[in-house]
Amino acid sequence: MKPNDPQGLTEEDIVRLARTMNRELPQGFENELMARVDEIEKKKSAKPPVSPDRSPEPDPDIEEEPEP
Amino acid sequence: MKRNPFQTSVQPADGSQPDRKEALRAAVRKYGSFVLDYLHSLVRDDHTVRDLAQDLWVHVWLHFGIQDFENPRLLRQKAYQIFVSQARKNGTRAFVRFTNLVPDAADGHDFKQPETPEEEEKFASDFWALFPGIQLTDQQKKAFILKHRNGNTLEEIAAQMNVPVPTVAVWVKNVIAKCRRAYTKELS
Repeated sequence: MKPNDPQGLTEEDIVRLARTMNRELPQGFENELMARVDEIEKKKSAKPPVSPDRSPEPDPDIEEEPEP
Repeated sequence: MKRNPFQTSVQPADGSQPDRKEALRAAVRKYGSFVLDYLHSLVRDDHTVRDLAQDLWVHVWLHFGIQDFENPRLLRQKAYQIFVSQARKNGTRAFVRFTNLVPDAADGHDFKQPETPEEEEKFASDFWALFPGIQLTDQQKKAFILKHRNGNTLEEIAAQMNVPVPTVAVWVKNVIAKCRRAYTKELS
């Protein structure tokens, strides 16, 4: 079965799950990951939110049609 | 209503949506070693494996639905995609397994000593919960766990359980086949 086969789990997956599920991770792995997640979260929240009421800026490349 | 076997382990008492970070932490504790082991079978270099696993979990946190955080099939598929993307970025062919370190002589199986009875009990309940409706005897489950969780040989298991070696081999084989069927049935 190819790794991207949409069908369930392979035999290898089941054996691997049995061997590794709930096993302790390498030291610092979880902390490193959570620090990375925190950093991304901080960056996301630092971006100013766009107000939904704000009308879009006029595009300078589009010329307004002259009124008749 | 059909049961979803992939719900996150984090379930707030008030029934509200679980916090994504807490759900991620629970998923990493449960499947972190699974992902690392899978990536290790593709790459073998510990540093690269760690980086790829981190990329995978960040992707899971950013893009997965919370009910899929603990879906081993999706995790394995995404890990493979991330591995291929990384290989493309590095200009290496994905099917070429490269290594910076000399791999161990062993076949990659890294059996740890059995954990405390409580941890093993938690493992057993989490593991069999992935395969709802599976019908196995306690002996079959025990043989499978001794073989694939604890790394015992068939002979050792046969001696411990007082049954012939071929019986143990058949039990273990049947457990895997039934697990696959139960999992596929749950998805369909």
